[in-house]
Amino acid sequence: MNKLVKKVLLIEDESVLLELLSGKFKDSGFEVSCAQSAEAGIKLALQNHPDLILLDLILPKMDGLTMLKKLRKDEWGKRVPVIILSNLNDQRKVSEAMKIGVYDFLVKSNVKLSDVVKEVREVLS
Amino acid sequence: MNIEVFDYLRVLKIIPEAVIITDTNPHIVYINPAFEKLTGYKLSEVKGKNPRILKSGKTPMRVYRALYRALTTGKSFTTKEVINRRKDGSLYQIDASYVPIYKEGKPVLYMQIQHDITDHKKAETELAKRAAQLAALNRSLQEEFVKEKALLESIGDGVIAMDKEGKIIALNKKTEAIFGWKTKDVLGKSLFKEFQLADEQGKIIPKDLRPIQLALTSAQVGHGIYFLVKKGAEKTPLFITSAPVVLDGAVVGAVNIYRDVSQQVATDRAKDEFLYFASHTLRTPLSAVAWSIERLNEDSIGYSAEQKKSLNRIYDQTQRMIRLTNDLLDATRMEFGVLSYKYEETNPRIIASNVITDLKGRIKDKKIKFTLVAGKDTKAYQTYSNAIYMILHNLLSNAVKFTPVNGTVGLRISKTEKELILRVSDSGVGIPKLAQTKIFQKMYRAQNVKDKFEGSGLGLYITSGIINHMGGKITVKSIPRQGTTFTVMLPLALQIIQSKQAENIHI
Repeated sequence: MNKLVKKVLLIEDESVLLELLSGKFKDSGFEVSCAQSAEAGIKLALQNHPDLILLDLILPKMDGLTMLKKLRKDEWGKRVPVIILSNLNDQRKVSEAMKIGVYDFLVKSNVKLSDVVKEVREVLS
Repeated sequence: MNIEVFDYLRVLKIIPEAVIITDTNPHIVYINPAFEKLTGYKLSEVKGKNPRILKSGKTPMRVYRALYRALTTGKSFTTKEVINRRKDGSLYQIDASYVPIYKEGKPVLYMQIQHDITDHKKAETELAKRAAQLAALNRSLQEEFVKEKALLESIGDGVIAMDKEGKIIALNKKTEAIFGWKTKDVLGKSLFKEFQLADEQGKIIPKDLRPIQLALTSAQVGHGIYFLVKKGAEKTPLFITSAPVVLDGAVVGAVNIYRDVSQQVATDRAKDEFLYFASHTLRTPLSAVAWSIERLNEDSIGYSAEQKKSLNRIYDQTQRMIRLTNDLLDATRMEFGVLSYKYEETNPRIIASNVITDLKGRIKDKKIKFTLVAGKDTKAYQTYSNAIYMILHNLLSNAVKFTPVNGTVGLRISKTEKELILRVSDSGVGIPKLAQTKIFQKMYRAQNVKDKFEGSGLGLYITSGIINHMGGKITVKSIPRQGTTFTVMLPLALQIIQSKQAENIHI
């Protein structure tokens, strides 16, 4: 496997958005894995050790921030960069996420797909 | 007989009671020295005279009638109601006993023993008067007490009065209900020991930061939402107001009012949750459309010019829809009053950088030079971080929107002792003088931007609404075609002043 290819894990429960995101990231040269729940997401993360995680907040059972707290307890999970990509722009959630430790907090409807990719590239460079 | 008379007179001469003896006419036969002393008359002056010379006219007639009846039937008589007149004209009241003296079965003399009770009577009257006054005072105090008690009990909030040391001196029934106390168990106890307060997350509020402390140490009114910690029960949100009681310039105690706001907090939470999911649910399909168009536009080689134009139109309108949705959600948030009762620590500098991240794309597209100046400590307490986000987002996105390519936009965040100041300036199109007073109205759009720039006319309405809600102020300075500066002043909540004072005390 090409070591230069970066692995991105997308955790997003909306199929349409997940398809659009994974299509864009694949076209941009990333290796993409997808999960539609926090439970599946953390399992994949700990198995595959992606280079970056894009995390939605409102998910079916466990919510994104709870998953993030769990992830941060893992030795590897402590350091993996996480970008929140949600449609909530609630500042309480933003500050909570910042406290747990995330690279950025993006609001889906306010950003372009290309902005998301650009931001991910920035983090991984 | 002689010896008897001699002894009799001797006794009369030395006893302290005044004695007067008359015959049956009646004429005065004898008065003793005590009588002389009491009345000022000498025996030589009154001997043979009628005792009516002593009459004052103030003795009730019935007393004389009763006396006459008694004496004519040979009985003795005692009264306390006789008021006589002295030689000098002054009055005195006596406790008098009238005794007939018999000789051979017939009364021949009447002896009257008088005891001056004027002072006694006076004292009695005085006492009676005092007693009446006391009774009246007692009655009015009781009435006052009942009134105050009724007032206290009729208040729907818990009220506790405490002294300077924090000891509970009075409380009402509602307080008992809120805290689960019995008045007799807590009177005289320290308020701080009787219950604990926590924040929304359950962190115990230290004694120094409790509103009561503010009232006691700085004579200011302290208030805010706190959560009452009860053993084995859910914490109760209370809106607490603590007012100092000041006497001659010194704080002698405080009155605390506790309002149970469980209902409001629950309603707020429900509204909050509604908005939380509404914003998520409305934005998700919009994001899907916007991203799909973006993907279509990535490879537009196969499209005709007309198709490209259509794609761009769809994209622009979707963006417009997104902005309208954001405004609508913000307006709803404001009109719902979700901003109330949310007290938390916020850092406007961090919020500002979140806003700038959101606007980064547009700032870059227009090649705008953006500057952010912020003091080292911009932390603010008891302001709603979403509110600050909304204020900054509205003002900054306006600034970016109305500023031409290569222009400048700046944000300055500063803090005075009492206020947080946000200043947003731009080198944009400016606001005509006449429009400056109207821009905060709902749906108002100034003439110079109406057709050239897209907008809902809600942004500044929401912004000023939020600012008013927070007790702040917004001002505008603008020169058309040169630029605009908005200045927002938000009061810092009490806690920051309070914690500063606590620090000073410790130093």
